[in-house]
Amino acid sequence: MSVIRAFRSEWLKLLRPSIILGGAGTMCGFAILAVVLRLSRLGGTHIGPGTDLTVAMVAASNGFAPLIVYTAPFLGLVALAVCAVAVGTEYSNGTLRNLLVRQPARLRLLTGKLLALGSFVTLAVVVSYGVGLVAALLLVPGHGVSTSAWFTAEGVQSLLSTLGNLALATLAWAAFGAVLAIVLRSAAAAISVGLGYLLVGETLLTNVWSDGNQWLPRALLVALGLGGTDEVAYGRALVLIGLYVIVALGVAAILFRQRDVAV
Amino acid sequence: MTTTTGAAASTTAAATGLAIGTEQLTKRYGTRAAVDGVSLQVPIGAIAGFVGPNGAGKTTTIRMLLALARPTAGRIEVLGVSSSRPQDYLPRVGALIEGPAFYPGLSARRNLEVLAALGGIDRRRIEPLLAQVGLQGRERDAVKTYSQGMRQRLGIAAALLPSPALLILDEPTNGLDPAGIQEIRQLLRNLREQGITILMSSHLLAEVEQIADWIILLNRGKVAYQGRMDALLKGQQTALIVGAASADELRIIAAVAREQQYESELGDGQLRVLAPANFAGTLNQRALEAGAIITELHVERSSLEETFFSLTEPPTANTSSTAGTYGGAQ
Repeated sequence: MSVIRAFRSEWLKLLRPSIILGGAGTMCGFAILAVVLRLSRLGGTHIGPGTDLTVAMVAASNGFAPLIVYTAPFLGLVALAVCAVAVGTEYSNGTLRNLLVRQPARLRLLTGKLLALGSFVTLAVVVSYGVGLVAALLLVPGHGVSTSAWFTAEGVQSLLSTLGNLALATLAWAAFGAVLAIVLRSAAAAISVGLGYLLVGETLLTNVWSDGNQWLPRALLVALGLGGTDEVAYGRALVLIGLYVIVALGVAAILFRQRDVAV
Repeated sequence: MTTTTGAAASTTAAATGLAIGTEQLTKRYGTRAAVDGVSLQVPIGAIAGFVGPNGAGKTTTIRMLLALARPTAGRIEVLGVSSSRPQDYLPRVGALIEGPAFYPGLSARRNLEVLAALGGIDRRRIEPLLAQVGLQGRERDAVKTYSQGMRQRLGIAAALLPSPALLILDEPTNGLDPAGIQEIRQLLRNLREQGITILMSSHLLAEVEQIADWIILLNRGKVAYQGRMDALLKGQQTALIVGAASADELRIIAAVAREQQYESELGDGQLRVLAPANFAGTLNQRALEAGAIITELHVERSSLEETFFSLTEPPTANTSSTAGTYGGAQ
């Protein structure tokens, strides 16, 4: 019951314009942008390794996937920031102490909060995916490509699996954002460290560790969102990211439960 | 939280007569003791003033009472429940800690809805509470547009949200104008009349003196005094302020006082005799016999502020009182 209360309470905070527009709105924007940019290169090459887009690819039953999957890291970054802000500002605003007085069972509070954030992120991914799909359905015929194969049984299965992969990857990014905010007790620090590692840190690491992409989170998250890459198999990405998330959430739960609230 | 547990706890609290009790409560940060062996007792139904200089350990103590910080040592009971089971007493505790903290982008109403949803509190309580603290008409505005005083009022509304048996308020009048302070003072008195126990920390000693009937002075992490407010003030130095028609007569009165071993200070057309209140009659009679007519005579008692400094500036006071204790051992 107390987890449900914490869940409902968190949703009351999430339903504010800054979060809806800044989070879900930005995700929708990225989805539309991805579709538009990918279509602009239809038939061209040199976008990047493995990213060539041909008419045959788009016309196939899984033709929406190559248009949308490259949004995964961007959706993930937004999710990381949204969750880091939602958790980190509880510390910086001092509101965490109010929450803990009303719900002293800390793990239940954290569980409800994370479930609410997870549901928000999932909903935002579904909406942005839907918006991207609508954009694609409007734009693809203009390039002389039919989208009828997307809605065959095989196509619908592809649409759903692509959505599932995007949602899983984005949820993992979100979890890392929340965990960093709990560990660092600050939204700004969590976003800085999170983005710093993902955009710079891991690149440096992979320069000195040739097998790094097989183990490091950003490469695994990208592979998860794409449904697997040439370098990292989907199953490996799913299992390793699952383990990383479980360990990270475990550490965050211990810290959240044990640490004094001094702000 | 079950009704049975709450009822049992209430019975325990009623049996001890204490809303808050701590024993040898200690909180250390490294080698520094922020709170050092504090044994607090706050009677049920009291308005307890919790005062002390900055860094005395008030906020750390409050955090431990609210299960926001873990004690290094010692025991806490709030409303008859051990602090190891905060879920059994916090639903009956309202708190305003270290200033009002809210989500600035949300309205006052939505901020309270967040807390009500979390605590399983009826949302219908929100409207009358906002009216009670004078925020009616502004409840839909974002909190970021509020003045400090309005935030403070909202903080008090949030503290009252769970229909508390115990209110713990950290600087509740901070940022309020004189009219607001008076309103809050009256509100707290009304709440006491409803049987709510209030622990109120404040640096406004005159404010505490006016409203509190129980006082806890904390200094350097230790209890310097706790007990009834009137007993504390009664046990402190009094002076007799004496007026006369001329300076010569005041000098005669000073000599009379000196004969009785009481020092005095002459100044500004008045004589200040450092003597107990019951010396007033004797002084008047002896002065008349010595040829001086007293035209004005009243008793000046130490304010809480003066008492506070006398207890906190020297290392520790060890005077004892019948109704209160110095050094925290009651």
